[in-house]
Amino acid sequence: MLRTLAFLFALGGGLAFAQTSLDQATQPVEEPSILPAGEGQEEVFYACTACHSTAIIRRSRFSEARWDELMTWMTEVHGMAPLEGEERRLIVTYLAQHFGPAQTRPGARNPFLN
Amino acid sequence: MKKAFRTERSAAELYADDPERADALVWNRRGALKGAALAAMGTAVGGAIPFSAQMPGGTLPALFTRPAAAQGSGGPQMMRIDGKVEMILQGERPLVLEAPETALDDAVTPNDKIFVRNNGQLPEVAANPDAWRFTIDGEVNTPLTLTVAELRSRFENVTLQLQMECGGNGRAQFQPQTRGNQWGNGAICNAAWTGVRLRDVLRAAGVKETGRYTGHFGADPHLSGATDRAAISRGMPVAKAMDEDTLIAFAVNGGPIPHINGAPVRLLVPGWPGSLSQKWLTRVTLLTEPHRGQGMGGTSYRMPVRPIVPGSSNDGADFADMTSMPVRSILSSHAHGTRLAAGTRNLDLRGAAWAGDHSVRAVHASVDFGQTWTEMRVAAPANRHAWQRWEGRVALPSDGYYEVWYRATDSEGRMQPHAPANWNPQGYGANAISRAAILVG
Repeated sequence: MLRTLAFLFALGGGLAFAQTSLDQATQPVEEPSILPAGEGQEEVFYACTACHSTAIIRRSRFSEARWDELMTWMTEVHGMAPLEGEERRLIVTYLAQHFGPAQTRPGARNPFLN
Repeated sequence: MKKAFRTERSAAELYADDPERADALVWNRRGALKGAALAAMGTAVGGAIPFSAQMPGGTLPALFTRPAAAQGSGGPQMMRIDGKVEMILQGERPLVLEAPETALDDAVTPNDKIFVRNNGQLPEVAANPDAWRFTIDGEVNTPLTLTVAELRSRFENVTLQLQMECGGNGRAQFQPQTRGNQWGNGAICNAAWTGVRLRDVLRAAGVKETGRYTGHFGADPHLSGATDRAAISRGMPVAKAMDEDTLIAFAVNGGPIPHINGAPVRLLVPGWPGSLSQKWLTRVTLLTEPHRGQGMGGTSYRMPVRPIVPGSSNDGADFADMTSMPVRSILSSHAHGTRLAAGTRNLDLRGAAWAGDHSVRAVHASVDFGQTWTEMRVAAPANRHAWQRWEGRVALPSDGYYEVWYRATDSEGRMQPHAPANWNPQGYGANAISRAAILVG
């Protein structure tokens, strides 16, 4: 559904807006390919979307140390099954590589810059 | 020509990634823009930059930290669900939707413009809202279980315009980025809530001397589906619970509360982090010690008492719970990225401002990068804890690229700062001056 919406945006504002039901909105159909390709893509996708959609991942920009801390925090605060060993290393490395620190928030741009 | 095209294209890409580096690479500048570099940047933004002399190095790129709600591609992802206008999508699961500032142009926020911040899954819709039960227990003389119907008939009903704002509103301003929803300023609403005062219900239950804090519980299941933990369960000192504006609300804007905003009954704790305003309310318990529920302790809804290095690691043990939210303003008349007809020389601005438990003393706007400020007219709040609308006119000396900077000052004399203060790991309290880009001609 989200992809459909994105497509409608791409077509331009002339079209009537597609309305999403609450169920559709809260149960988004996502696939691993929504994340950048690379080693760990599938592991990250399935580990994270057990609880939440990928939107918050895709909008995040953290160092490897902060991502690693976040794994501990999610276990301690949100009851995530502890991530350890090779799986943890794979997931944290992927996240730091693809969603590492940046100077600006993702998606931000000067509205008048061509 | 070919070269110029390539420069612009790479500028856009570079700026999207790292504006300061782009600034140095593309414009080769340190300090104020001059001559050819200024002309080139004017070309890139699509117009002249009238106040360029006042732009220090790094000033323009700071603009890039704000998404343009008015833009199609490149701006934030938008979503429209049943019962809401088009909102900024922060996340689908949990569902989190931010109101664009221009959607907040009503004095009283309509239901379809109330932001959505869920922490867990949505609970089932109550088949019979009047029969919904909730409990007051803990350190009270007489624990109470009341239906919504009993609540409405037994206690005085009050209707108040109340600000409700997410504790993380403005989080996207922080650099380095902090964890959580990357809110602009739109996690705020000022609807007319009807309910009973929490203090009236607490007095009916009889709070014991030992009842010093509250703990709140709702019906929304944890995001993971786990049944041994709450999606969110926060609490506050009993003094805030006894504030005359803290409500158990069963209606908004004259009708039922939308399910997604907490029907049939929720708390409304105005001026403090919105997470205290428990949705789908099932229980308020009175405690001797601060509540230990989901969202309490550590770095959750807590701020450093002694400022920490931005980006550093901290477990929040020395932090203090957030109380009153800081002063903030929104501009609802013009979206970031608005293009105006050539020859436009005046802008009639309007918006809203609020300051937690305090009020707003003044709002100022600047179109010359903060060099001069024009005082706006600020209306009195409809009641305590309501936001205040503001309006006023600024003059534009020519066509070209401008930024409208807008800044509120609270009743204690505290202004919105130039940069978000007191960086903390979960990004609370960012209330820096906001900037909306405007292009004339």
